[in-house]
Amino acid sequence: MSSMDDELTKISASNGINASTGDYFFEPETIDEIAARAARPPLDQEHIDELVEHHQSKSFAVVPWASPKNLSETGWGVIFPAGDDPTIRKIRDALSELLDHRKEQAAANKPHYYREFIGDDGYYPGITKSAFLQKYGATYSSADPENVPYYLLIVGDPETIPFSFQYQLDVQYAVGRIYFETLEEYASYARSVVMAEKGMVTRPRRLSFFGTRNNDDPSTLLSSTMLISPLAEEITKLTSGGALAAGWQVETLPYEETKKERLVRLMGGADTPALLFTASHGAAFNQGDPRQLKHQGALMCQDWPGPKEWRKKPILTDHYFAAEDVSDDANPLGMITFHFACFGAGTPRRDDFSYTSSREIAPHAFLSKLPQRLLGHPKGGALAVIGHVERAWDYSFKFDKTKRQTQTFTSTLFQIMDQHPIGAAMEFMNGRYAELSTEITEYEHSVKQGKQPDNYELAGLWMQNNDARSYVIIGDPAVKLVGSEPSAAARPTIEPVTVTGIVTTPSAVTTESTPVQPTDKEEEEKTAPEAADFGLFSSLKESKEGIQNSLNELLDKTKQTLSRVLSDATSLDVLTYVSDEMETVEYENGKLKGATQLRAMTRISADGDTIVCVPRTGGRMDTELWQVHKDMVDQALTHRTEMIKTLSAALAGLVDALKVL
Amino acid sequence: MNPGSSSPVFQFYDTDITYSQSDLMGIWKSDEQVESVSYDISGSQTDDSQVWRANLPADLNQARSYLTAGIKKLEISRQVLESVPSRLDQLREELDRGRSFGISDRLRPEAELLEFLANSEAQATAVSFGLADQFDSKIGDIFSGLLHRLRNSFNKYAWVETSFGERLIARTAVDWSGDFHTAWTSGLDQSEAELHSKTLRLALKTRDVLARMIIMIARATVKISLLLSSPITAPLALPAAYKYVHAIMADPELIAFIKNEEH
Repeated sequence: MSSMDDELTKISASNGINASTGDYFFEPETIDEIAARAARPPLDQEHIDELVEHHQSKSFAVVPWASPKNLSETGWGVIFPAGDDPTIRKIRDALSELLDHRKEQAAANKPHYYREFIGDDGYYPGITKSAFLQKYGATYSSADPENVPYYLLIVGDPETIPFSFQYQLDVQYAVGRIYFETLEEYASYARSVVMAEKGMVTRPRRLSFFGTRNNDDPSTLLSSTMLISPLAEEITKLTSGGALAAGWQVETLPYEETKKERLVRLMGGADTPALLFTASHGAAFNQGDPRQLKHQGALMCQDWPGPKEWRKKPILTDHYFAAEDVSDDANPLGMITFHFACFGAGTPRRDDFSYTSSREIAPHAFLSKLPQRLLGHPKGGALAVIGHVERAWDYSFKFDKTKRQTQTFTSTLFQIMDQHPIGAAMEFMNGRYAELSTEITEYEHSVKQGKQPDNYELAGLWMQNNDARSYVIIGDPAVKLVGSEPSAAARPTIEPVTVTGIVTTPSAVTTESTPVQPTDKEEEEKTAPEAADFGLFSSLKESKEGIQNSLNELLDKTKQTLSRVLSDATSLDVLTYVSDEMETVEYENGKLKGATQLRAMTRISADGDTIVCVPRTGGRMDTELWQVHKDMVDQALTHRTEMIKTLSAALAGLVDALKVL
Repeated sequence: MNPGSSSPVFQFYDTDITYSQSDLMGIWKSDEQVESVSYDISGSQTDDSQVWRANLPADLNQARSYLTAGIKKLEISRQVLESVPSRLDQLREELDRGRSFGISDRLRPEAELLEFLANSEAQATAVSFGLADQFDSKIGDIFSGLLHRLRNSFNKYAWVETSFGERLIARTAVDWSGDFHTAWTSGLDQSEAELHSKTLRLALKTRDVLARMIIMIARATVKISLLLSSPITAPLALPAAYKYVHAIMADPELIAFIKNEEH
């Protein structure tokens, strides 16, 4: 073992370079440090429990009678932020070409297999995945399109619809996300997907591997030797063995050639393949660095001379491939690309890998610009980008010191090449996440039972778990490489899409933990005539503040109530009593008291299981009373559904009102 | 039929709500008499409950028709409320297309809204000292009070009672988890049971419409704020929305229109 390999047994490395300083974005950590963090209780025990249940019951993905390749069996849905923001409607309209196309596919047999979660049905701040699903009758088992479609496209930035919601939903469903800054990009992406799926786009049936190996850099040494090389080898075997459609060509660029100029050709240039896989450092920046929002997640290339030679100087733009390197003349239309790199897909506001600190690493959560640029390109966009939110670790492909594990990547790439929708292909990644969560839980259990803790084992599991969770799809999860041809040379483009309307984005909604994003009006208000602040409107301001406080209080209460209703929604009880002395009947602590006799009861569980106690008189069922009871059951079911809808709508409406007041 | 002697009394008791809604949806009456009756009938009505009480006449057909009319009225109210966003969208589109703030050819709620907005905008432009007058602080207080009371109501369960010909026939408790607990008087027949079922529906629908009204005021606030060009006048969106929603709820033209459409 070389000295470098020996070092790798003591530390764990993430693929991120701090481009502000030229140093690693996070100092490599010792295994003991990581294990100390891993030993703390997980933040969301409910989610961990669910992952364990999914792993143990093998109930991932869509119900077994639905083919993941057939949207009329799986369903397809789109989730917008809840509320009445006109921008959301404009975005929906800009996406109409894609939505119409998906509707045609998903609703071919059953209209409800196509769903738009918008307005009152959209995502509202703070709702958990389970609460969202319960609203529509879905439970923890496999995705059943009778309730909620399997393929779900989230439309919104990660402040408005957080990454955590996406991760949680992704365990069971095939989830992707898009977010652009202009309506034109939404429309362009919509048209690109439709064109590709209608066979109007052809790409050479080629998978290109692009893996850097920067000098003196252990992270890219690992990723090039333990990820890129074996992955290329395994996929080549599969293609030559006839497991895939004929004509697939696998190309691995020598690491010396993995320069920025080469990526220009691979991402929309003359050498653009159908499928691209990159493994490199992701450029990361200190919070407050003006390049952070534009360039975080850009792909570091071989142009960077490595840590020793470059020392600790700010990284140059020549060293990495960023969104603006995809020129207006580029044409990434129809391609799918997978970026193994820190922040390749996005950045959370806070450090995701620490339970002990809540260090802010960005002013707000955001998607990386490179995937946005690739998908929303004016000449036609890429179909999807798979990338990592936060740091990508070598644990993705390495475990037990120096053993590699690339099967998850191989399986995912194989399915994409085999024309599976990308969301279905990603189930291997999601399955890995659930499996690791289960292993951690079992490990912790065995330690409690007396097993000697092994820090290396625990640290490895924990890092793998968080790492596996954070692979996300930027794009529609139902896209697939249908248009790839063995040797297509054409460079298709789309007609420019004209969308009337201003450049706009949905504003981030306010939650307790999210700072208020100033709206345009608020910004204007700051510069409005000072007279407005000089008592001229003092009564107006007082009333406004009073109403804001009341709205906030009501918002909090509505959240609590909805949360309570949904958590209590595991069962619905309807009880029917009779009494000879009605005046004595009272309700206390959730029960009827007084001179009453319980005659019938129905308990309906969330999974549909029902317990019924039938009234009997003289040894026979009291049909008259039973009919009365049944009527109450029907009314209770209708009432609960309406109540959840109303509370959800109230949340969305109140949040919107608070934004403008 | 002699309404004077046989009209039902739909009583509602909840000090949090009745404070600002003495005639809830035009169906439920709340007054001092209700308060005393509520406490007199049983000791079960505490601050934890909203009491909905229907005292129905002894004539079964009459009782049925009163309840049916009440439910119908609520359904219309709900439909009217749901029309608020689209009406405001339509108004905005018209204004975007360059239509003036002319009010002569509009429905009354829109006409009143536009008049309100036009005055606000004009005064804002002139940096008038009178702008604050546009904000009726009473409306702010009422709305704020309503929000506060609605918030409190989340802690309460609905207690629904039906009396038929002065005989108490059923009581139901419905908490916020949606569980139903009902006590029926012994020997009840199907048609009498139907009366309580309808009373229950009426009470729960009223509660829902009341919440929907708040939601629609909130949504209308957002939409009206888009009609206001000056940030100074933005806070006026809420009282404008409050007035507008109430005007719509009381708009006889629209209600008549919906009724006709249904027939």
